[in-house]
Amino acid sequence: MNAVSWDSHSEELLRVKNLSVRYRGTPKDIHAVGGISFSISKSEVFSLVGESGCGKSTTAHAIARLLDEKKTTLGGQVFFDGCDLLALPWSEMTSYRGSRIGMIFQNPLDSLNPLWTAGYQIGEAIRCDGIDSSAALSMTEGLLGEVMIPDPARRTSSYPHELSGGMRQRVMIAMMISRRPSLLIADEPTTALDVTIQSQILDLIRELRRTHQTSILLITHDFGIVADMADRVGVMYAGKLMEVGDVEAIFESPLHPYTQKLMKALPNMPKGERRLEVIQGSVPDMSAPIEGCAFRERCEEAFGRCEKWEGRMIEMGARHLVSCALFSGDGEP
Amino acid sequence: MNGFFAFVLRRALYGALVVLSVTAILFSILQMMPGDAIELLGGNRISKNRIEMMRVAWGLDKPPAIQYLYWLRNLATGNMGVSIMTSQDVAKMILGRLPYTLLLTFLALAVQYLAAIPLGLIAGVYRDSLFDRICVQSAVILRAIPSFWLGILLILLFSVKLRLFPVSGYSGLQSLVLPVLSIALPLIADTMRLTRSEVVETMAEKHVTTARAKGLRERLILLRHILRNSMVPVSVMFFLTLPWLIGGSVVVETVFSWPGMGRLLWRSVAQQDYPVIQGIIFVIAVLTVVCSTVGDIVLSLLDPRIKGAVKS
Repeated sequence: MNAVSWDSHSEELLRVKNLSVRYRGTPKDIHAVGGISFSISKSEVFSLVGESGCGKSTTAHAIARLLDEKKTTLGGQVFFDGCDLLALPWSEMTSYRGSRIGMIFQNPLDSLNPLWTAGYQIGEAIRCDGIDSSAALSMTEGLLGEVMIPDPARRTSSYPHELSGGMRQRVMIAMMISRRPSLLIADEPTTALDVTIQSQILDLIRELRRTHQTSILLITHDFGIVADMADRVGVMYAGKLMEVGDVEAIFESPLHPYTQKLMKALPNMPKGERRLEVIQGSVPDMSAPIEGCAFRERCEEAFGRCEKWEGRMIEMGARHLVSCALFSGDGEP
Repeated sequence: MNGFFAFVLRRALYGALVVLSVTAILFSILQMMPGDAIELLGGNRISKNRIEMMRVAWGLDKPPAIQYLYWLRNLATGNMGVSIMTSQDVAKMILGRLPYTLLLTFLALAVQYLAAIPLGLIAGVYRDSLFDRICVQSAVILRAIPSFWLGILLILLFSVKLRLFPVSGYSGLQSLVLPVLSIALPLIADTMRLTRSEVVETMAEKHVTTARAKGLRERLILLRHILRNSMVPVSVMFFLTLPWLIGGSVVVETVFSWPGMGRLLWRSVAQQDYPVIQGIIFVIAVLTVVCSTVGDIVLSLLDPRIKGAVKS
């Protein structure tokens, strides 16, 4: 990384271009991600939000190329720091993971090896950069302090099963920031934790972003977390990106009918309304590429053009993009 | 370390109970068998009177419970009795045979694990490859071959046809090759399949993704995370099958006329030589208890989640 190209605040760090992921399976493939594009700037928190199975987690794994490539087909491009990660040979990807792209996972118990101590697993990451064991140990203790684990010197020799869920996630975070990556992918980092621990972990992530200017790709299904953390939001549905915009724009003036429905389905209801709204219908079958708009069968505003909607993003204002035929400018209902 | 000694003491007590029950049960079974060594020894050539006198001399006229207590009392003083057939000291007979059995068993174990773990690892990592399919298929075939039959085949091929190795007995290291192979080959199949399935399972675990995500090279992931974790169940199986292997070499020792404990047991059973049978079963029971205790200690070192044995 050279300093000259990273001085501007809005400098782009990650650009995902028409990314698609297909899980090869028998009898049918699953088209988990169907060509999505977005970008993340330096020190920005970008949140991908959507319901279970919409492909947000798959997107996160695909960016770091952590999917089993024998069982998946990737398409499109993922430019990190100008370099297309998907075009890199597998061996070169190793030099990006951990050192430039860190990743935090949903369940901090499954995600740590039960047979090694927390300190060892963090030290293992640090030693990737050729740092010797004793220096790595003192760095590990420093990191555990940084993620606010009490008594770090003792905790380095704890095994994952001896730690609470929140502590495990802190260990995970310490491990993934140990090599100071410029992008941190957090895949539902608080979903497996209870609410008080959840806010502590989010505070921690926010603090890390402030001190190290780390860009964060935050995957979540929780709009509360989005409102709390994100600068910009991408709303995903059935493997497609429906709308991208600043967090205020998405919450206050959502454009896509799906986003609007989602907002109405949030439990913080305005006065006078007594029932939560639900979105009728269910998600489409993803074992075939979806023709037209993925949401059209559940959309009350669907019209003829939706069947042939090609999924392009229409610019509807400053950094506000929407993929909906209603805004295509021709063929009003 | 206190906890450790308490653990060993507890296991020693349990172990003593196990050994006691095994020998008591064996004693009862031997009593239920028709005939005895004296009859086999004498056949029809000596008078009933003489047989009775010999029975009294060997203590076989006493009730079984008393005989058992005598045996225990003698055992406590290190005396395992005398063979009815050869009048040799049983302890000496067993000690003379034990090294051969242990040599055979541990060599077979070494061959088994040194071959099975790398094969299983490679087969698991390159799952569904040609190598993997060859491994899995040959494992099925190997597993279906009984040791004694495999032993006879090996003798026919390598000793009789090719004259590479001795047919039987012990005449130096080359005598070990065929018996070791007959024991190890079917077990390689088992261990290889277990290793393979553990490797496949571990590779799908999330902590392996974490290891990859933090930038660890594939070789290190394979050794420290996939192989290391797969070794826990493989070690469990190791310690579970170890006593079985020591006892189970009976058949192979017999096929190869190996001068080990197994063949001695085989012969003693055929001759109803009670003191020798009791002695050998006692030794096998003790070995079993020791193996399972050592196994528990090793496992608690391998997997910190296993409660226990070794607490500092």
